[in-house]
Amino acid sequence: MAEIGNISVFFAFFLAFYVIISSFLAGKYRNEKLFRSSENAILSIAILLIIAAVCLLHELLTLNFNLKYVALNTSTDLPVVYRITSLWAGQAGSLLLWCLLLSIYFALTTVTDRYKDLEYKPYVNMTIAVVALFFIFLISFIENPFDKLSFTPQEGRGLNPILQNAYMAIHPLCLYFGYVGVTIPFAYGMGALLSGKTDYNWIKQSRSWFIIAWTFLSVGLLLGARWAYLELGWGGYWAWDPVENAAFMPWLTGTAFLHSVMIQERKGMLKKWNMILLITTFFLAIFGTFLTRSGIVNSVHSFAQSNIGPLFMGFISFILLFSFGIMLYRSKSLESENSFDSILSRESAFIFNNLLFLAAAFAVLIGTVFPIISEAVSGEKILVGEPFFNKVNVPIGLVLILLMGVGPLISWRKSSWKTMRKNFTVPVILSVIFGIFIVFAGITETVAVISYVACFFVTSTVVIEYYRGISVRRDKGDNFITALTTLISRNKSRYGGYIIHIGIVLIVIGITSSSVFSHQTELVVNKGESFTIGKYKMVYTGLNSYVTDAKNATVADLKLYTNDKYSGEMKPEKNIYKYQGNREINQETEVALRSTLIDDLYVILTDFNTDTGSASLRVIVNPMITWIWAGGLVLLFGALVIILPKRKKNESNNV
Amino acid sequence: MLKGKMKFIVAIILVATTVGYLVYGSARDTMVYYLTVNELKEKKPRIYNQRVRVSGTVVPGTIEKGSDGSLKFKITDGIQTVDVDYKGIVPDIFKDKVEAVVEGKLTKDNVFYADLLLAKCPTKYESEDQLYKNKNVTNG
Amino acid sequence: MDLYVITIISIVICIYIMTPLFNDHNLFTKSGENDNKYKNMKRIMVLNSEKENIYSELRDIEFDYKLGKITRDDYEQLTDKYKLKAAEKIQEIEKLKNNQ
Repeated sequence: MAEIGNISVFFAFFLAFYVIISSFLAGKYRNEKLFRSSENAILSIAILLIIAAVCLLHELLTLNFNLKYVALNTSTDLPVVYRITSLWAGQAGSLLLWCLLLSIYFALTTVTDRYKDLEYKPYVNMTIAVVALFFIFLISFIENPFDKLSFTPQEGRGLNPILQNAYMAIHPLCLYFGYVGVTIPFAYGMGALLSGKTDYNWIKQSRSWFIIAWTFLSVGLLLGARWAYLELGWGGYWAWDPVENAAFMPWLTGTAFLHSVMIQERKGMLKKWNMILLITTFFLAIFGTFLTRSGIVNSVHSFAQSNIGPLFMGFISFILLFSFGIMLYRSKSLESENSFDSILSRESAFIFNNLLFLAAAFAVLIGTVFPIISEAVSGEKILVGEPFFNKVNVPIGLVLILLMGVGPLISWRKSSWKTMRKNFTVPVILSVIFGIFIVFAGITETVAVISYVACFFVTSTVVIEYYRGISVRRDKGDNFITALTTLISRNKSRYGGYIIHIGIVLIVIGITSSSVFSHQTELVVNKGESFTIGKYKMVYTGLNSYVTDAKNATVADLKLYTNDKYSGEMKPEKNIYKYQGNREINQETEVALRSTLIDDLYVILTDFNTDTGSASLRVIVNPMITWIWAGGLVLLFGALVIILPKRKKNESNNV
Repeated sequence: MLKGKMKFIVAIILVATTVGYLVYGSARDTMVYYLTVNELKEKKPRIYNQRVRVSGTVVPGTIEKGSDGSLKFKITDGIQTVDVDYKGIVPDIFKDKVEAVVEGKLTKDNVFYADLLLAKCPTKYESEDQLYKNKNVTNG
Repeated sequence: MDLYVITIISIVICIYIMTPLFNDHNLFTKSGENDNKYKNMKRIMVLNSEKENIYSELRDIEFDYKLGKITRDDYEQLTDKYKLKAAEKIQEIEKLKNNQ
């Protein structure tokens, strides 16, 4: 099977070349035969990569240790489900996955594009094919998952235990759908520039594909945070680690793009700006992929840890130079069709939004590459730690939240002070009352108060928007439910967007509460002893152990009492994984977690003494962390409202 | 509509300046050197009590638990070695020969008091050297 | 065995990719089409889409007015402005259609 996989990959490589050439010729000479042929080749690439992935999966499931990739990432005691997820656990496999996802997106564009024409789509195809060529090149010649060893080991190295977790199974997949997905809107933009057809279509299609990628990125980021929270055992979920930042930056510029794109769709303005944002987001997605793989930022005094580094840099430079170059070449066709009606308008709010998102992305970028730059410039590696990112991003974030609240209250094109005063009065007064209330309730930390009040403000404006919108429809005779559904389906972007904003608000509330109000304590307990933290009391009844196929587990048994009422057991674990392989990491702690909407109780067994039966525990209470995950679900729901097509209705054009 | 455009440009400059200042200030407050053990020792005595980050490998046999709940160990870069006294969360993979990163201060008694400990993140992309090292052992 | 499978797959794919090169397709082009007519058609499509955008803006303006976000004066002013734009597009489309 490995042979089939290997050959499929090479064949896909050649086909990618073919697509580039035939698309180019098809576009230049408006040759339909070449265009059809190239589109068949695109579908073939997807088929070949699916075959390759299935082959690799087969080798992983059957534990064919003769294959280097299988030997590095599996072992005989690895459960079947993780043999499947090991497909993307290692570099070669994850690159194959990248190629596969790109080819699937690529195939989808040939199947779903309703505005096909010979002047434009071929250039879109050509662009995607160039990106595909690079990545397929990597898995064909540099990191081939089908490489064989000159011998067959008896046992593989096994999969890192912290990757053997449901979240680590889906999180990379989700993020990849996001990273890879940005290629498509980018290609539509390039297609517009290369063909010179920078009019109506490309932005609509870019936006439709982009929001899909954005949704995957958002969910992927949250899944990663949840994984970190559950598996890494420090009670936190985000450390501004270079790899985390790598995924966050394209999300920031991408969110800016989603907003400013609306201005282009309505008024034909900001075309250059949107093109720049799109190119930048794509660049950041590729850069993010590169950062995660090359180890360039993590260690002291090392640049390329693998030969992939320089190749990526070369490719990224090529992309940047080429795309900005062609943008300059076509800059005349990107001129604005209109001018702004007024500075007091939603357009202005959106531009302000863009500036802030870009500022945040820039700050995160600077913080992440600081060590590389400082070393290049001064020979000494200097870094800025977690506090830097928080110091910069918290103020920016708070202003953005306020903007989320202000946006809906200002109309497009032009707003007057009179209407603004009318619209702002109720939410502002309610928010101030809310603020006073929470301060009296005992919350005095400034950041927390500002954050909560801002979130309340946003929520109130969204509720008012929905209320008003529903009223308008009810005046036309609809009942409540019909009014709501018609309102949403007629204005999906707006009302779906509001739902996404509520999701963000929930996430921010969760972040604020867990950052400002968490308590932590470390202690050593002996059998029978109890301890309290907040409203929780735990009684330590002793150590226990059990054995499974994969591990030897030691458990600390704790009985939990919430407000003096018995509420279950907490069983934090420390495990030793039995590997027949020779992996260095075999220790793992399993957190005992009890989550409610109010807070999370998080207990880690840091050490134990089997002679005395004592246990060392770290206990953390994290308020409202669940709101983060709940907010993520709301965000997803809002995104689906926007993405899913509305049921075909007869839209009356009665203007 | 030059006046309108001016307003936008002024607003943009204002935002850019504010953010620029914010970035500058935060960077200045949170910058730390990232040094090898040897570089740390070379920078004495200026480096005493200055917050820095140091990377090195854990010298085998040197990990011990202090009576005050702290973790004591030595790290080296092959050229120089330093004693570390650490209080805080210990990553699962921390043990002999692991590559560790500590952040804290070196005091006059030449002990590095750290409050942050990272052990080299278990990357997904490890080398295959191990396979070859154990080739003779595993291949019956 | 592996080799047979992949050879067959490759041949099928090659055939699939080569076939369009030898068929006559007329999805985008009409036989004997003249370039001008094609260009006109494309231009009309673009104008139609822009017209739809303007209608959408007008609906939006009305909605915002009903929601109380813009004053009556602004509502009338904006509606007039955009109606004018729509009229221009319609005129252009008519002209092109007549030229066919």
